[in-house]
Amino acid sequence: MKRPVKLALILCTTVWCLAIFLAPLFDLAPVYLFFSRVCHQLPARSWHLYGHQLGLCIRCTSLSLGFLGGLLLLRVPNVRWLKISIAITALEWLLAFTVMDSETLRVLSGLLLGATAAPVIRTGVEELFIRVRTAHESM
Amino acid sequence: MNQCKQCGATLPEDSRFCLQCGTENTPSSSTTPQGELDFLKPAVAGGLVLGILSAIPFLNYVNACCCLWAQGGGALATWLLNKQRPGTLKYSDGALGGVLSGLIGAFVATIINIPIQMILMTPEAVEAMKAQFQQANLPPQAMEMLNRFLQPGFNLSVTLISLLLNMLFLGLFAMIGGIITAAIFARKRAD
Repeated sequence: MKRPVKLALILCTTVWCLAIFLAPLFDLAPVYLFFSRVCHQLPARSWHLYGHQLGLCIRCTSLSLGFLGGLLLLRVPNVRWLKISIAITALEWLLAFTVMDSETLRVLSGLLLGATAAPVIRTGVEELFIRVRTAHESM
Repeated sequence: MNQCKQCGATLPEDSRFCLQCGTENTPSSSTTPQGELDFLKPAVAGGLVLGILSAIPFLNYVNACCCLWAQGGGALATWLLNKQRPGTLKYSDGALGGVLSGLIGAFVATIINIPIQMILMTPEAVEAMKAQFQQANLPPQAMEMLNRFLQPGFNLSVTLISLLLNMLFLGLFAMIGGIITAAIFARKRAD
C-alpha cells in the first residue's frame, strides 16, 4: 500500500513542479490561476522565463523543488531537522522584512524546508490511506 | 514481534528504534492505552478559524503564503486532538483532522464570502483590482482569465468554482499542517 502512495505523491509533485516552469513557456493561463490560490505571485519576488514570471514565487518554487527532492532522496522522517528548517525559514522571513532581503537565503530556506517536510508528509499520507483502506475493508 | 506505535511497522523484539520512521519505541510507551479520538469537534474548531480568517478581506492575503491560515487550521485541529490523548498521536491522526478542518473551512470561507462579495465588489473596486493585476508580469491570456473572474457583485459560477478550489487547497494544506503538528507532538513524547 505504501509504495503506490509514494509513487503517486512523486508523480503529483513532479507535475506541480513542471507546471511552475511550463506556465511562462506556454502561456498557460489556467496554471497561473490555479497557483494564484497559494501564492502572491509578485513579480519582484519571482523568477522570470522568457520575459514572463514563473507560476510561483521564488520561495514557493524552492519549497516545491525541495519537496520533490525530499520525496526522491530522503526515506526516514527527521522531525528535529523539520523543526530546525521551520525556524530557519521564519528567521529568514523576519530578516527579509527588517534587515536584509536575500534571494539566496530565500531559496536555501525553501529547499531545506521542502526537503525535510517531504518524508514527514509522505508518512502521514501513507498512514491515512492505510487507515481509510482498513476502515473500508472492515465495513 | 512488536509494532511501531507511530507508523505501525513490525519491529524485532529487542529493537529500540523503528527502521521505517525512526521513532523511539520504549516498552512502557508501546503499551500506552489508546482510546478513540473525537475528530469532529477539533475539525469544526479548526475549520471555523481557518474559514473565517480565509474570508476576511486583507487578512486572507496570509493564504497567499502557502495557505498559512489553512495550515494553521490543521495545526489547531491536531493540537486539540493531542489534548484528548496527549503524546500518542499518529501522523494519520493529524492528516485526518487536518483534511476535515480544511473541508469545513472551505465551506465556511465560501459562505462568508458571499455577503462580502456583494458589499465590497463594487464596479469601482473591481476596476481598481484589475489595475493592480496589470502591474503583475503575467502573460496576456492569464490576465484575461483573471479579469474574467473579477466581476462586480455576487456571481454563482465564480462562487462554485471558488468552493471547489477552496476544498482542494484548504483541505490539502490543512492536512499538511495537521501532519507536521502531529509529528512535532509525537517527537515531544519521544524526547
